[in-house]
Amino acid sequence: MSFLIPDIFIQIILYAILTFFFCISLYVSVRVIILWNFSDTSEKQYLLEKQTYLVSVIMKYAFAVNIPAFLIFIYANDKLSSYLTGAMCAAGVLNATIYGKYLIIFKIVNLYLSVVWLTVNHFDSRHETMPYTAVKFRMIPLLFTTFGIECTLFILHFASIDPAVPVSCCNVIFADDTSVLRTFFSEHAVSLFAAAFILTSAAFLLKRPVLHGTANVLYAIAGIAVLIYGVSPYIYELPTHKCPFCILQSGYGYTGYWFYITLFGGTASGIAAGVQTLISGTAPKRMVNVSMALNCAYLLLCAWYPVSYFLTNRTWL
Amino acid sequence: MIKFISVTKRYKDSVPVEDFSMEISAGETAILSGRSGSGKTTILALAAALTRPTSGSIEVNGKQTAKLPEEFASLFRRESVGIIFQNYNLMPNLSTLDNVTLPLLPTKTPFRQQRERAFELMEKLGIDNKAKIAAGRLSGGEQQRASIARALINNPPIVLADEPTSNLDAKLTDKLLEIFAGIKAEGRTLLIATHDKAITESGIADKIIRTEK
Repeated sequence: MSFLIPDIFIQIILYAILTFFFCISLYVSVRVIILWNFSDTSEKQYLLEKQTYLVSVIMKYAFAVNIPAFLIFIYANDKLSSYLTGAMCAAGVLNATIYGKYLIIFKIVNLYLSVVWLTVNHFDSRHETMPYTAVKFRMIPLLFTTFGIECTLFILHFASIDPAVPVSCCNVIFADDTSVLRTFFSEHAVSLFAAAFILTSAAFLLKRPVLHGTANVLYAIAGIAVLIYGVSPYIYELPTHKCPFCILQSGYGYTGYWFYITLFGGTASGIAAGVQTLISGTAPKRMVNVSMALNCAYLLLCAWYPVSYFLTNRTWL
Repeated sequence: MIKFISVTKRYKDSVPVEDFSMEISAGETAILSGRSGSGKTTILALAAALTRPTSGSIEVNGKQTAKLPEEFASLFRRESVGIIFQNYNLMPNLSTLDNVTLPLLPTKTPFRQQRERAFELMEKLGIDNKAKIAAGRLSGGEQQRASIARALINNPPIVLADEPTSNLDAKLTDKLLEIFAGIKAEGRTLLIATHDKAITESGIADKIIRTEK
């Protein structure tokens, strides 16, 4: 049923196109891994150089498409919630099958891996001697695997949704305290987020981009946790309503998009800067500054709702 | 310096250059001589990084140009090479002046300097009075000189000329030889592809490279 919804159908077409391009790039990446020798002037090497250039361009756009495709995915899930009994937002739809939560995890992981690949590619294209071509093509099989898993989970998830079966809403999903991980995050989200922010700031001030990049991985996880368990009740003005998806709805002024754009922008550029430093030895200062600025913006966004709630109502939730 | 080692360029239906080697030192003037279809134009295109070889190594001014990614190849052409094309390749609807200053557009050269440099060159080549005329309305000889001015406007250390006398009469050929002598005197590397005896026998060349297979 769900495949016929235009937003899902668009994504299936997108997956089909991306799979086609991924297969081409996997073939070339295997050839690069086996045959690449930049100093060689044989016909085989020149052909390989042409192919790597072509594949790099294709993959650059494929990965770039992945970023807005993620927003379409969330939007489609949100839209689908109106067809499922019990679902109030995308959380209910993702929880409708056993594949949903893994699907969103793989989508996020692939999003960050895409950014890492795009960073290596960008850095490689700025050098005449293509010094990181072998590195970026060694990453393709890993990306192909994670993309393949995401693709499979996507098909399984949307094929398994049964509109006749009622699903749990976000209120139930995120209030569930039987999961150890969920309980840990709900109890320590704020302190974890504070620690992650201190760590990223310290790495920034000490000018340690690799540590800053690593800290941004923690900041991304802690940032999501604090949004769900620490901030969202203040946005909904309801202590029991904890959800990362309802804030994307018009009823809440699409405020969630600001949270996710700043969090993703800040952490992705921080991780990308770390990766670039790791492979080149020089830190991209502008990227690190952008990362830190967006991380601060996210912190301010997170602080805004509880503080304004407290100033209005003189109480915390 | 231009150095080709075992360069082959193969197209689907022909092999214009096969296992070709040559070396031209910096400041040298060389003539690529051979009959039509012997691969002279392809060799110039390879030297200018306009196309890539099928195999072999090409080194121009210390750069492995055969391996340059396209962005760097265009930068290399802009900074290091001036090309005088056989068919001039001028923009017919632009004025002569605009054609000559075209290579400076992507550079940060101030507008006034661009114009001054263009007029200096056009004066030297005797076409300064044609500055405002559309290139398409120039005679063959004038177009030839406009394309030479365009090739030299970036002060390239290497100048490549493809059949530069193919559309010129004897008088204009002599004039062109004078221009080439001037380029040579400035210490630039000059590579001329031609089968015109007027050039090969003029004594301008330090080296004559035969392209016959």
